[in-house]
Amino acid sequence: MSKFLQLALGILAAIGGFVDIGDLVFNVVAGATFQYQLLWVVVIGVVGIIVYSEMCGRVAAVSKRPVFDAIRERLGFGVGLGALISSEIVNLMTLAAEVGGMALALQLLSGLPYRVLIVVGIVALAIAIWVLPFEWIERVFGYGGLCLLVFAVAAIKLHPDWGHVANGFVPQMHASEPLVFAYFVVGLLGAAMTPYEVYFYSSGVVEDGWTPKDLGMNKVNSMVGYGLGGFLSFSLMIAAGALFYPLGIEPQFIGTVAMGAQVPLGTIGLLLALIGILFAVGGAAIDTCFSGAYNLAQFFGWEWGKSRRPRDASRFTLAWGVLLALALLVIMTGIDPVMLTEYAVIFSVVALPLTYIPILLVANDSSYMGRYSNGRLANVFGLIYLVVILVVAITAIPLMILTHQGQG
Amino acid sequence: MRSVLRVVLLISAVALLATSCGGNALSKKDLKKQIESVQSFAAEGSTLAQGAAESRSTTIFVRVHSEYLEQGAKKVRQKLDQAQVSPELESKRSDAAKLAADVDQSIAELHRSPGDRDTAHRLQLELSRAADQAEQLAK
Repeated sequence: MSKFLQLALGILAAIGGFVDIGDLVFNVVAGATFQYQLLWVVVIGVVGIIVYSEMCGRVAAVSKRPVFDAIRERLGFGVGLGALISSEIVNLMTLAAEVGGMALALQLLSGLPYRVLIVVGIVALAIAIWVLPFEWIERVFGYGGLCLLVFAVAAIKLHPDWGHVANGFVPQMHASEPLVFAYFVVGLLGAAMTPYEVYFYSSGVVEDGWTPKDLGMNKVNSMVGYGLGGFLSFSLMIAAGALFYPLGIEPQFIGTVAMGAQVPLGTIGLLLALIGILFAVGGAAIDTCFSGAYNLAQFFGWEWGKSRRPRDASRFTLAWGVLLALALLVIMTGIDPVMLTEYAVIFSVVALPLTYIPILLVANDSSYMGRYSNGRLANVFGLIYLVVILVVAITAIPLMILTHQGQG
Repeated sequence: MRSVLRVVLLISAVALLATSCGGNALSKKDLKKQIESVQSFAAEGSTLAQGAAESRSTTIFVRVHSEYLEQGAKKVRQKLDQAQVSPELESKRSDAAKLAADVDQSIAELHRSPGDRDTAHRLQLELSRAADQAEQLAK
């Protein structure tokens, strides 16, 4: 297969795989609450995840060490263990929320009982992880997730005021509800800069045997994949802003998200939206599950890798199996996946500095990275986002409490 | 890193204390939020019913999603029924509780007859009117 085709396929998979349940929830609720006024935050979040993942990919390609390997070395065992535990808790919450999202999408498609579909979803994920090779997992779920492009068509069909949409890309505050607005700023940044995507990506770089020769591909993958993935976030927010905001609808369910495509496009829009949601959250569930197992294996020095036979990386295999089982238990308690998603996104923001700072330090260390350490531009962006991440991490939980999770 | 954690915990504790008083009592702002929720459920129910009436949705989707909406509307209705408000807000609370009950019943009917286009059309209009009333009431 030509390099160009490989790249194109990788980018398509990245677009479809960018959106997870956190993006679905926060972008749609933000659009319904503040119409287009928060579009600029998505831009900041997408640039942030590009900066973060490019650094992680580069560190992994040059040093052959993915995120948690570097974290343990830089932070030491004690602090590193703290970072690991917090990341694993957020991973588990996210995984449970994604599984719940899958079951809800399946329920809206089939009408079968929710709890039965949770079990079906978990079994399907376990089979996909066990049977499918890495690139097929990415492609099946990435291409399925591309159905979410229906929201871009829906956004156009809803005839938003494009002047107002353009104005939404200018950073602004909301005078009458500044705290709720700030809560959504934090949530949207958290939804875009989800750490599990970066753990997964950097581990994939090591698994695929990337070397410094592949750093160009690392840059293109990060920039184009996440950049175009952000386009889906814009589409979701614009569709919600054009449809739900004027009607005063406060989205609380996955079905409401799908109505953003159903109203302008009818049954075909509804089906594409539900299938897109199903594959997007299913793919994210697999990424999250792997990320959790990668983190544990890399921190404790176990053999790891999807490309290895299960018996050759038995503890890694056991780890993803246990994570799936725990996610099943969590979501079977009856907890609302949408609410769980909001908690997962907010707590992931709080834990973000624990993994971002070590990676920034390693990427900037020329004794470690040689001539591939951060250049001036990467350092400027790296430091700007360090400040952004610290501010967001400190304010996330107080804002969540003060605004009753954005309810005001 | 530890000092950052301390600051986060302190701010969170203060925020939690600041928001944890209340019980069933609703302030004017809280009542407005509840009425806005009634408006939201009514408007969403109306939009869902419109899809059913115009055959632009699937019966399964209408049946399942209306069940979630009904559960949500029921919670708001119970909250408004049990809420204690100041005397000058009582009439508004009572109107809102009645409206929430109507919305809950209409969405429940949509859930029971997701494939009946005539019923869906009627419910679309009823819920749309209820959304307008809730919007006026919230002002």
